[in-house]
Parts: sequence; C-alpha cells; structure tokens
Amino acid sequence: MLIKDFYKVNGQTTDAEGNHIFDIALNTEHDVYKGHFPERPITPGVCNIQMIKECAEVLVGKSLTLTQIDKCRLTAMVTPNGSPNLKVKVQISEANPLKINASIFFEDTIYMTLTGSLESKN
Amino acid sequence: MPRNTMYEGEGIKTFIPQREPMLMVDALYQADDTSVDTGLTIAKTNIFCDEEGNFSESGVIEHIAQSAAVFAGYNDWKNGRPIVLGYIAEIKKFSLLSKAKIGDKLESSLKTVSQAMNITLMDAETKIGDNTVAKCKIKIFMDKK
Repeated sequence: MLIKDFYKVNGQTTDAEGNHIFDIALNTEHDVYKGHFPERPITPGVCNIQMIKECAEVLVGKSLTLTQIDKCRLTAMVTPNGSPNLKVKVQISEANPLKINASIFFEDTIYMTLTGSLESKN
Repeated sequence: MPRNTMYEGEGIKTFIPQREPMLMVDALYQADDTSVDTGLTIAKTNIFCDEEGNFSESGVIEHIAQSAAVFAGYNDWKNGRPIVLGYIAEIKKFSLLSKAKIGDKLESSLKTVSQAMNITLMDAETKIGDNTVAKCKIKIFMDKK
C-alpha cells in the first residue's frame, strides 16, 4: 500500500459475472484528512484511484502502473465519516497492458467509475 | 533558465485549501483568466512516493487537480471572492509518459477548454524539463455556495 494504513481490505469475493469485489474499510483517522481538508475531511479522489490500482495488484500478484485512464468519473463524494465502508469492483483483461474496468460503490451509491490500462513494472 | 515565480511555498496556501500532507503544488509561475502554470518539487517526505523514491501516478494526478484548483482559487482571489473547496469531477485521456521521482521538479501547464457555472474543464500537461510526464483532460467542480 502506497499510503501506509490508508485503508484495510476485509474481504474479497467474485460475483456471478466474474467481477472481483473487495470489501474496504477506510482508516478514518488517517493523516491525509488533516490536509484534505482541515475543516472538512474528504477522501481524495486520487486515493480512490490508488485503491483501485492496489486491488488490481492483489489480483495479478505484481506491481502495476496505471499508464492510461480513458475515463474516470467521480459521481459521489467519499468521506471517512459518511462512507467508511466501500466496495471496489474490478474487472481486468489478461493482456499486457491490462485493461481495467472498475468502480467503487456501497449499497446503492456509486462513488467512482474508471476505465484504463495498467502495465507491469519491470 | 529559472522561471519567474509569482508565489511559492507557503504563498500557495492563499489560493487552495489543501494542506500538508496533501499539498501537491508548491509554485505558481503564471495565471490568467484562461490558464495556469504551476510547479511541485517532489520532497523525500511526499506521501505519494514509494520506498524506491518513485512518485506514483496518483500523485501526478493530484498535482494536476490541485493546479486546476490554484487556477480557480487565483481568479477568485483576484476578484475578491472567497477560496472554496474544489473536487475532481472527471479525468479523461490520462496518459503517463514517463516517471517522476524524489527530487524531480514537475512543471504543469493547464488551459481552460470550457467553463460553466461551477465546472471547469482543463487541458493539462506535466513536464520535467522538456520531458512530458503526463497529459490529461480534467474537470473540476468548485463548491461555490
């Protein structure tokens, strides 16, 4: 994990369509929230992108670089107090670069959708 | 050739609400109604650096997003309006072309593509010297009351 102790993975499953789903619990006391923002803790969008990449790394068992983002939409705000539990859904292709299609959601709320490409680090 | 700098270090805090450890812009070189040029020297303590000293692509994106926020914040400040929180709404066509590491000096240029109400779409390019690190289109939402 790039940003130490930013979140915890509590479980990993695969749904009927073959998507990998990770259960995430945010560390609501993390130092990131001292600066983002001092009077209003909001989980930085890029930390959610980083989380998606790290879930993909778990799936392929190696370090990856997100070399392309075709499109990433932030559709709802993630806050450590309002949405401490999240699900990360990841679908990746086998080829290199890997194509990724991912989303972050919880219950009925979709927080982020992302499509892009990942390359293995040498 | 050293660039002229309008604001650097603590001075950047005039224009954006982000603070350490999430502050990812440390220089404002130029800003006007439609564009902004910013910088970030990647410190050893930067939270987006891994143990080998590589600056992650998520750090590059945050630097670009905060550069867009500096653009909005500078123009608000210049017009006597308060500085508000800004969020990434969308990133498109992001390409990472080369890597950055501790000690590198990122320089970014952003130009407005379109602006409507609280949403600004900008074209961004980040370089180290003449070498392009990343390009993207970023849409930011400014939380104006």
